[in-house]
This record gives sequence, C-alpha cells and structure tokens, in this order.
Amino acid sequence: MHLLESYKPLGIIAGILAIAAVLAGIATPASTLTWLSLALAVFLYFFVPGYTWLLLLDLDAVERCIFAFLVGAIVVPLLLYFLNIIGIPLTRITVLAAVIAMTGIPLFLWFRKKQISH
Amino acid sequence: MWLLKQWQVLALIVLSFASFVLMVFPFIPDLDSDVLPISLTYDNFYHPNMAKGVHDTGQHRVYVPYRALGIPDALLADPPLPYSIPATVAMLTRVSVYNVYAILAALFQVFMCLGVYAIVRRHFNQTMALFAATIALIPATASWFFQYTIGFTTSLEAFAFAPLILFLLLYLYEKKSVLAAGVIGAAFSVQFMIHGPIEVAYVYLFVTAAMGVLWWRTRQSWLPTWLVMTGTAGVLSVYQYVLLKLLRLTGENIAGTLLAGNPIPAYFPRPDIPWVLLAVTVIGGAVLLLRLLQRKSTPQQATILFFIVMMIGISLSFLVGVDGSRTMRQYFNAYPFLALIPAAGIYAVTRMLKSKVSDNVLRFVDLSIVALILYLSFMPTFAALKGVAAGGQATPERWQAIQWVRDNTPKDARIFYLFGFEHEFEMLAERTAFKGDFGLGFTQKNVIALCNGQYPETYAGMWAAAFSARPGADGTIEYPARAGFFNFPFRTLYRPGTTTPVPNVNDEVPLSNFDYVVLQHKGTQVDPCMAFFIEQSQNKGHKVVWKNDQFIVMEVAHAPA
Repeated sequence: MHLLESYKPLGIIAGILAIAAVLAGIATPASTLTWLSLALAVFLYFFVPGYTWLLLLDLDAVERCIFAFLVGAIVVPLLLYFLNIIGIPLTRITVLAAVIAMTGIPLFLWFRKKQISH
Repeated sequence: MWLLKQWQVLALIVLSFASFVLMVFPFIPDLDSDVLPISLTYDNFYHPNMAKGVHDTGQHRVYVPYRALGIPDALLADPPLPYSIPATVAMLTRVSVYNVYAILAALFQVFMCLGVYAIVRRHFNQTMALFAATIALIPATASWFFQYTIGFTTSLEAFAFAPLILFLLLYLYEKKSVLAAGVIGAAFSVQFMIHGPIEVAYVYLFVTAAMGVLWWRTRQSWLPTWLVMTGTAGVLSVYQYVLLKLLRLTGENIAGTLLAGNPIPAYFPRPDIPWVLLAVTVIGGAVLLLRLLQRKSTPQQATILFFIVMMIGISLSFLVGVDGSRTMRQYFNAYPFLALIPAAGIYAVTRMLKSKVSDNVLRFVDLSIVALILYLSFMPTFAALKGVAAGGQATPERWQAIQWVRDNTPKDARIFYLFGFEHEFEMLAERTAFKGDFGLGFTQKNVIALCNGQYPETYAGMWAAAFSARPGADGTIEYPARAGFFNFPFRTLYRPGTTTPVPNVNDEVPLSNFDYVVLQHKGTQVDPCMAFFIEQSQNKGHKVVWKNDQFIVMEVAHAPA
C-alpha cells in the first residue's frame, strides 16, 4: 500500500479532532484557539508517532487509530525520559524532536520493509 | 449508504466524545483557566503539581525546590512518567498543565475503553464490541470514574496499557512479530514508570502464563517472544529500578503493604449496578461460561475471559486478607473489560430476533440500544460528576490566596500556613511551606494556644514536602541527593535558611523563620482565635499584605540584621 494511502485514517483523526476543537470552542468559554492547540498537541504527541509505529503491524485502520494513542504514550515519553536522564532539558524543541524521531524511525523501518518485500 | 455501512464506527466516535465530555466538562468549565480542575484529595493536588514542577523546570531528575524544603538536588524517586507526560504535552499547547493533566487522564480512560472495543471487535464481533464500549464509555453511575475523580490517576494510566498488551498478545497467537513483543515489553516498562510494580506485576504474570500455556498446548516455542518482551521491559526499566534499589529507603515495601490486610476504605464506592445491567450481565456471564465449558471459545476468546476472571479475582482478593485499598482499585480499572459480560448478554438477547427480522431491523435495534444506554446514563452520570466537582477544595477564595502567593512573593519565600489549607493544598502556591493546620490532629497545638489567648513563640507543624527520606542519626532526617548518574548520597535535612537539622518528628519553628503567614480568618469554627493571631501579629509589626473574604496573607517583619 502507498504510504499516503496508509496515512488516510490519521488524516481523518486530525479532521475529527479539529472539528471537536471548534465545537468545544463554541460550546465553552475557552477560545477555539486554545482547544485547537490542545487537539494539535495530542495529535502530534500521541497519534502521529503511535500510528506510524503501528504501520509496521498487520492491523486494520480502526485498530491502528485506537492503539495509536497508547503506542504514542509509550514511545515519546520513554525517549524523553532517557534524554532527560542524560541531562537534556525538556523543552518544546526537545519534545518536537522526540516526536519527529519517534515518527522517523518507524517510517525508515517501513520503507526498508517495502524495499525488502519488493 | 456509506453512513449506514460505517454506522458502528460513527457511533463509536460519538460515544468517545460523549465520554470525554462526561469526564472533562464538569471539572474544566473553562480551558483557559489555570485553576486546579479536580481538588478532592491530596492525590488530586500532588500529581498535577508534580507535573507542573517538571513543566516549569524542564526536568524530572530532582524535585522542584519548593517541594523539598528549598533543596535544589533532592532526587526524584517517584515514577516520573505521570508527571513528564502531561508536562511535555503542555509544552506544545497554551493550556495549563493542571488542565492538561486531567484531560490526559480522561483520554487514557477513553482509550482504555476503545482498546477493549478493538479486542472484542476482533475476537468476538463488532456489535458486541460496540455494546461493551457503550457500557464502558458512558457508565450508568459516576462511581466507575472513581480512580479519575479521587486522584488514583497513575493506577488508571498504568492499567490503560493493559488492552494494548492483551491485543498484541492475541496478535502474537496468529503472527510471530518481534515488534509486537517489543511493544508489549515497552508497555510494561511504561506501566512500571507510571505506577511502580502494581499493575505491571499481574499483567506481566498473566501474559507470561498465557505464553506458557500456549507452549504446553501447541509445543511451539514462545521463548524467543518472551525473551524479546521481557528483555525490552528490563532494558527500558533498569535505570529506574536500580535507582530505587540504590536508595534502600526504610519504610514498608510493597509486599508488606499488600499483605497488611487493610480493609477497603470507607470512601471507596461500593459496586452499584442498575438491575437491567445486572440482568444482562447474568445472561452474558452464563453465555460466555457455557461457550468456554463447551470448548466453543477460540484460544483468543478464552484468554480474554481468563483475563477478566483474573481481574475479578484480584478485585475480590481483599476477602482473603490482601490490602483492599490497592486491590479494589483494580475493580474500577477492570470496568471496560467487565463491560464485555453485559454486552454478551445484550447480544445474546438481540440475536434471538435474528431469524424473525431483517438485518436492517436488527441494525436499527442495535443502534437503538446504544442510543438508549447513552440517553439513560449520560445525564445522571454528568450531574453526579458536577456534584463531585462542586465538592472540591479549590474554592474561589482559597484559590485566590494560593494564586496571590504564587504570583506575588519571591520564589524562595518560606510560607507558614497556619490555618485553612488541609491535605497540603498549599503545595499549589509553589513555595517552601510549613503547615500548622488543624486538619491533621497532631498540629492542633497552635490553634489551641491562640484560642486560649496565648501568642506562641514557636509554631508546631510539619514541612510540606514530597521527597524520599529516611531517619538519620540523632533523630534527624536524611534525603537522597542526585550527585551523579548513579550517585545518590544521603544528606542531612536542615530547616530552610538555617543550620538546624529538621527533627524526625513534627517541627516547632519560630515565626521569624518565615516570610509570610497565610490563614483562613472567616468561615471557620475558630474565627476568634484567628482574629487574635492577626491582631497580635500586627502589634508585633507583621503586616497584612493581601486579603479576601476568607483568607489573609501577612508579611512577617524580620528584625534588622
């Protein structure tokens, strides 16, 4: 399956989170921007890396979307834990770097797997 | 047509959001606010405050000084992930860490339920999975959210990985996968670094036992898979494990606590199941049990059922003398799994219609049941949670006092909380604190003296702190300092700003040792005693620098050096 095709469900999650954030912004006193920032943080931190790792397993889209949150809650915090233990401060940049690393590693493995299978 | 085809997924999305609203909106009416959303108990304050400490200092290696008597190097020996996860998520948002903490706990609860949905969907069927998810996501009574509301969120979050672990274990029944085994191991490690050994212990033993049974039944080697899983968990957890072992702190170890045979605390809600749910639970239990006894269950279904049986066993183990306060929590954790039993009952009843009605009618019946559960359960549970939120300690007056101290005093100020802040609520002001409150019984001395018309020279109380410690020589206290990667020497604890060791009992400290005194002067049973303290303090030169209808902050006048 083409990589972009595999990411379609993740796009749907992004859309659902954005719609929910807008609705929450309308229904509560907090601004839509605040809700959107929360939705974006949850999406980036949990769903993107978690979903990408799960591309390496033979799951359907619903299973991947559900477990992406929990797998994201494993890979990013563990990397940040070890980075901080060796003295790297936890900042927005470090967190984003950890998210990119934990998305990049499974992507690399996914491409390698595709190359081998061809 | 597409909508009809995907109605179950759409229903699941609606239910998930309803569950999120149910847990979050009663406690966080305004996401822009930085008021602590859930404030019933010490745990509700402690975990989010620790997360804020990690957020503000950018590290989880040592405690923030205000939680350790001003010490800058007190080793953080708590499992760090419940703090670092919300802290680092909050770094990506404009939402306060306190709100992010509660929201993530709610999301863990939602995704735990969805994880069980995914398991049941794959190994039973999608309709039964949807029934189970509906019952779990929108419980009929608020008591099922007890872990979330009372502050046992670390237990909840650690257990939230159980559906993922079980799902991947069942995945391994069909496909050998080093990655799946590795993810299970990493999940165990995260469980350990969220809530210590409790949840990881029994889930790990269950997974190991399942692999052992499969090896025995199929004669296929599970050793490499088990080694990958255990090795991953071990490698990822070893530093935190060694750190705890090196400390060799005194006090009860976990085994000692577990076998202490404590009863279930009175504030734990007892099982409260509506009779309709109970009826379908009985039917569902009978159906599942019959299938199991008749060997009609697949190995995956049998594994799921044995997991549920294990969870029920752990929840009831207080009956044979195991600590009820720890084991009964697992009952609340297990709820999404337990929901499978009534779901099987509903499924069995509705499928009796199968030969009599068309598929479309049956689909309509299924959807109606989901809608009915949502309709009957949502509002009562929401109202109950609103009531819980209203009982919190973060009243506007108390929170104003906390905010004033947090935003208007020097970071290294030492604050004496004389009265009005039970359960260490004062930690939220983020200053080194000494509490002489009435609530703990043994610190009543100050208030009794004031009520007797005496202005005490020294004030009895305890230092509000969170770090690890052990008794030192001559009645002192020692804390582990972080001096290197594996170097945690114990050092004597001194009263902040002095060379006087803190005694291994409650301290008695002169007022001059503090920079501010905070107290509740109105709305208590000891208002006259507090009025006496304020009047006498002002006579001695201490100044009221802030007040509202209930609370006062006084600045302590220090003698010129």
